[in-house]
Amino acid sequence: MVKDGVSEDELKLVKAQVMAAEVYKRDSVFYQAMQIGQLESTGLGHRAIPVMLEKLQAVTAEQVQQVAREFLQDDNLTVAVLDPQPLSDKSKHQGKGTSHVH
Amino acid sequence: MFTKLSLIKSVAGAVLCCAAAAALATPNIQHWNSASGARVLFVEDHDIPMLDVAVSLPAGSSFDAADKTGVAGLTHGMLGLGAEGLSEDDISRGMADLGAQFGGNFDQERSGLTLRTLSNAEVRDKALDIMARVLQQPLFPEAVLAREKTRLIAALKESETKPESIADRAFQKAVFGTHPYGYRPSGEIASVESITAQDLKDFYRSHYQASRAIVAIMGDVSHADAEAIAQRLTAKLPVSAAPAAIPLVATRIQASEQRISHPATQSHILLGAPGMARSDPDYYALYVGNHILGGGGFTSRLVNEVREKRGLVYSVYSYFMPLKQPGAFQIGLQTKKEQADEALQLVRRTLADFIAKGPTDKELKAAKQNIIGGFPLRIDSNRKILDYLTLIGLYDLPLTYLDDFTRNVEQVNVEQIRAAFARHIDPQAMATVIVGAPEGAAK
Repeated sequence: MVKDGVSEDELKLVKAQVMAAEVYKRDSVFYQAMQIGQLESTGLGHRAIPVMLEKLQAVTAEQVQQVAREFLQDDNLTVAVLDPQPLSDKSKHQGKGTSHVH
Repeated sequence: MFTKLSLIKSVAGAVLCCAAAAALATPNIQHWNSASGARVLFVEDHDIPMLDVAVSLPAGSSFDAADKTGVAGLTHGMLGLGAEGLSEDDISRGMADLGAQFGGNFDQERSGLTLRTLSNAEVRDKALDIMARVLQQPLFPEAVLAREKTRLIAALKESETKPESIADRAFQKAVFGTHPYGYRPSGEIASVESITAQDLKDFYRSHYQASRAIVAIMGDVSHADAEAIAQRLTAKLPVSAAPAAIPLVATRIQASEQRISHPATQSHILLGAPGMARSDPDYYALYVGNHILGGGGFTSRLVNEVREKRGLVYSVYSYFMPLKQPGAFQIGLQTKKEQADEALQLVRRTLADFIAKGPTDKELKAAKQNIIGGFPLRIDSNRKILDYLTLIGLYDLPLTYLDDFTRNVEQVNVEQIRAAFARHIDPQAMATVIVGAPEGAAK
């Protein structure tokens, strides 16, 4: 994404999904309360919902790439690896434990 | 697509509508048989511009042959992975492009596909076209099957290391013996390895007939549209003889106790027996009674005795799994190995006491208030109503099931609960499984 950006097709797909999801979310009374509460608590206010959707439709591929460049940097990366331990031999896990923490 | 005003208005409208619907009425269910033979249940609701559809068939894992477990599950799992004119990528990409959500559900009894789509005619039509082909013209491609079998076998092997899975398998076997309700729903590893595409095609052909299908439709379409949708999704299902009936569950079992060693620090304990069928006349008495015994969370007897008073567990529960025939009654808990026997004895005492004496008037009143007061939350979304439509269809429940539910709960009395439990659960004839049993403990 940082190097090649995203295609128009990909962008269209995401926009279609987000717009549909916004309709689907209205099937939950709980979600509606949560969304209104979140928007109010962040200072945007619940009237911002349609504005957000309009702005979302206006997002361009260039903007996506720009944000990717800004945020998706190796220096900000955290990687966690889980090494499965044998079930029958728990002592192994104690001996090597710390080496698994990178 | 949305103007500022219309969205706010419709969001507010949806809130008002649901609150009002919850307080006042249960959904009005329309019902008919499609020309294909499928049974259709439909609730028309235009509040949100979307449509939910579920097509379900009695084709779950209990329809597997004893030496071919896993066929039903793989048949279901492979439906969305290749259909006439559609590769698996075409299917998933096609639905994603529309913002549609395509899913499925599978258990001992049913195989189902679900679709949620925007209801505008153009989008809806494309989504239904994919669903219709997936359901009625599946291909079961060899290469995809090989990959899915590898994935499934890896998952089954992984589950064999987990104490909760080991306990569940041993429990199902102890309760149901060789009855198909006791099969591992995804199949046994050796059987899955031997499954061929032809097995899936044969199973599909013999179990996915329109006459056995239940079509649930909920949302923003007209009755005429719903009729056309049901027909479109079922008219081309295979025509064949009905499969053999599932044998009867033996409702009384011998007492058994299995202690299975496992290095986990917690013991996983399950106990139970065959419980009740969906159609059981004692359904509501057992349902309300179980709420008091171990189904109602913090207010239940088991939680009160085992967790609150003695701190032996984080969670302890009981439930009935009502199926066509009696599914399992199960009590489950996890506790420190050293405390496992103490906890188990306490659970047994609590159960025996409940069966002997039944609940108190106070407990019954609280349980009814909780169940009846919480009922509106069970039908407060299209998705939940869709699930009830499917349930009513699959289990031949009355169309007034939702209307009657709270009254049926209200009518249950203490003596009915006591008698119903005594009829169905014998504490002396239960299966017990302890995985991660205390070291060296005698029975």
